[in-house]
Amino acid sequence: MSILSTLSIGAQSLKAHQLAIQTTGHNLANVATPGFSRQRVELVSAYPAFVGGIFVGQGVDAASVQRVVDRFTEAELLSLHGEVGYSGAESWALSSLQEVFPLSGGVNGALSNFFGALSDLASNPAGSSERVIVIAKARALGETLSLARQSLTSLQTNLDKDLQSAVERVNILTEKIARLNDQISFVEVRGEPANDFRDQRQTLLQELTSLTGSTVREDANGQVTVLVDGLLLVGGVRFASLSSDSVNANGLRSVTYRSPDGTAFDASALFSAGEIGSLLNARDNHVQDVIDRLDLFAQTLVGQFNTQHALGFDLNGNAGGNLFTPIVSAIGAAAAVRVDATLAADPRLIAAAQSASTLPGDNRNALALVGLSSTTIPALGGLTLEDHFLSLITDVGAQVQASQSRYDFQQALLTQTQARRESVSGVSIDEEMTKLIQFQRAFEASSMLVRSADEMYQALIEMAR
Amino acid sequence: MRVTQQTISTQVTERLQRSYQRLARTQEAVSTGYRINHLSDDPIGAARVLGLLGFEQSLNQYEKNLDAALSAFEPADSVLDSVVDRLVRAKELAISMANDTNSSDQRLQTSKEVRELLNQVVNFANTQVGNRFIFAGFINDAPPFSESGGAVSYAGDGGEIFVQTSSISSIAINVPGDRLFQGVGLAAGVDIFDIYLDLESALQNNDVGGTDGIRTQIGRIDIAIDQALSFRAELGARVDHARVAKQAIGAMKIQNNQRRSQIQDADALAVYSDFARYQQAFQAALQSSSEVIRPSLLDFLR
Repeated sequence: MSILSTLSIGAQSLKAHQLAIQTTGHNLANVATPGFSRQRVELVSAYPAFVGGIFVGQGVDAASVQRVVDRFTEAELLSLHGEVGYSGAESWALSSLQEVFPLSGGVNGALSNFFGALSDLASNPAGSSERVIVIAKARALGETLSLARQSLTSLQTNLDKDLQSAVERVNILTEKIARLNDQISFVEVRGEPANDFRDQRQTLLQELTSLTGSTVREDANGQVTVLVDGLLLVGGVRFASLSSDSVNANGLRSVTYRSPDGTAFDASALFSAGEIGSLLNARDNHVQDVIDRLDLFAQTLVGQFNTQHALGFDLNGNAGGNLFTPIVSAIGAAAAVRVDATLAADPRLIAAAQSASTLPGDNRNALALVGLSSTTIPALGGLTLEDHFLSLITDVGAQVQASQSRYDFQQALLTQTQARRESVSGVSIDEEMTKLIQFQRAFEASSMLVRSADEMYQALIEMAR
Repeated sequence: MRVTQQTISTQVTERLQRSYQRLARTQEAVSTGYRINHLSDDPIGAARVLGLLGFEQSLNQYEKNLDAALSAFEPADSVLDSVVDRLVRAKELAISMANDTNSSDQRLQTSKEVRELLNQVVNFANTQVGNRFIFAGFINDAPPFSESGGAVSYAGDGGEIFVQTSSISSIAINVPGDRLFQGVGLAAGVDIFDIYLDLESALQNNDVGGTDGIRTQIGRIDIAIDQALSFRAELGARVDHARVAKQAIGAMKIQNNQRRSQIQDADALAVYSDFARYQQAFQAALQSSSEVIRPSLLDFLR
């Protein structure tokens, strides 16, 4: 039991509380840093000395600086990020899809107008203005269809661009995560937790999971392995890269995977989760499906009208030609609905009559063309043209509705889980201020102790004089 | 649960956002007056609204067709009226000339008036409305009737022009002249022009009681008047049918509109009260948020 040990307790305590104040300052400085977890100095009482038959306390020790995290919540947050990444991108893509089909005007409006014009023609089959209007409405129908299809393909192109930037972001993330893996194991091999590196890596992992729906495993030396459907994105210090430069048969990007040792292949089919999976799914399934159905609708429409039109006779007494330019392939049909060029140039060629000998008042073929509005068509699943189109947009609406509620639900779940994480790891200014005052007082008290020890020394020296 | 400034600020942002979103959606319903503004607001309702809109368009079309039919019936009816008039006049002439007190000279004079009546009836039969000869059937771009060599011939056809008056019914807007004037296809039909020609030659030949004489023609004129009147009755029935159908369509349009409005329209009262409620909630949220995010221990450490 010496004055020296009292002095040393004071000095130790000064050091420990100065460290605590610094950590409090670090916490306060990072109060708004995303992904930051508050840190805490582990203060423990120092190992006591056994002096003269009694244990005498030896002051305080700063054992380590720990970050306060709940591993379970962190893991849950990661997987939620994957799901929100998927449903967020899906809900965005689908709500753009529904804007292609407005509630007024649009394809069904143009179709009704066309049938209306044919009906007017039936009331006055020889009328030249009625004929001109039939051609104008047919042209408007074609343009509306083509506009809808264009909007759909440009939506695909936009999704493609999003895919490209997502893929580029993944490459940045995998490299950063691999570098942090290296730094974390370098620090932790010395037995100290790499708090801030871990926070940074967790934030990057959340983003990577949100993009790819990846799964993350941590090994014994603190490094993580990131997998997407068995593909290794990050493994320790090694990382894979993706590229979206190659283009598939539809002119859309595919995702090429290049492993850390350099083997590359098309891995589009393996990305089924996260934002990338969602973009691929929306582009190749949701939007493509609507395009295909619209094409089938357009091709059937043109076929039906041409077949009926050919059964009639025009004002010159000749058998009806094509009303629309025939469409051979369903692919791109909706963009190819055009009024036959010869007919467009001469409205007299519209075949409103059923016989060449009953001109010009015969309106029976015009009536038959109007009748197509209530004809059920096997190629369209036994629906009429209008009903087929309505069922198409009902499906689109239902998909949008479902994806929006899925997104809202998962977003709410994510917010809740984030709040849970915040309640464990978040920085509270009030709490830190309280601690700051507490540590400051402790620091002041320690300095008093040093001064007391100093005075005691002085007293001893005076005594010896 | 430990609550930090971050928790509060996230919650405040989130709730303000949600409250604002709700307000914006209600505002959209208030400003458009519609409950359904996007497909996803109610996919099935949206498709039904579009279906009803399409149906409304066809109802408008049927209405237009019926108007076309009604305006086609009018000239045909007035022609029939005049034809009956001319037949009655022919009968008067025939009856007075069948009297034995008339001389052959007087009968020859009267035959000229009969010829004039015939010309009038042929003109009526060639009535043109717009550029259409209304009694010519389908081949309606040229006068259907012409007289040559003591006979009137028909160049039209028996085509009946139908227009749609509903998805399942239609109505003929014309009467083919060969049926009306020449009795083609009618049970015991008579050729009105032949009667005039026969009456003319009976008068010229001073034939009163012969097989083709004036008295025989009087009987045939009666049949012809009946024939014309029966077509007039038929036209009247068609006009009636068209009027009734128009009324029905008017009623259906109102019903259709009501159904659409039930599905599509926002309940004005509910929407306005929702809007006021959400607005209040939003303002309250703003107010309380500003109270909750401001203070911290720092304000009191002086």
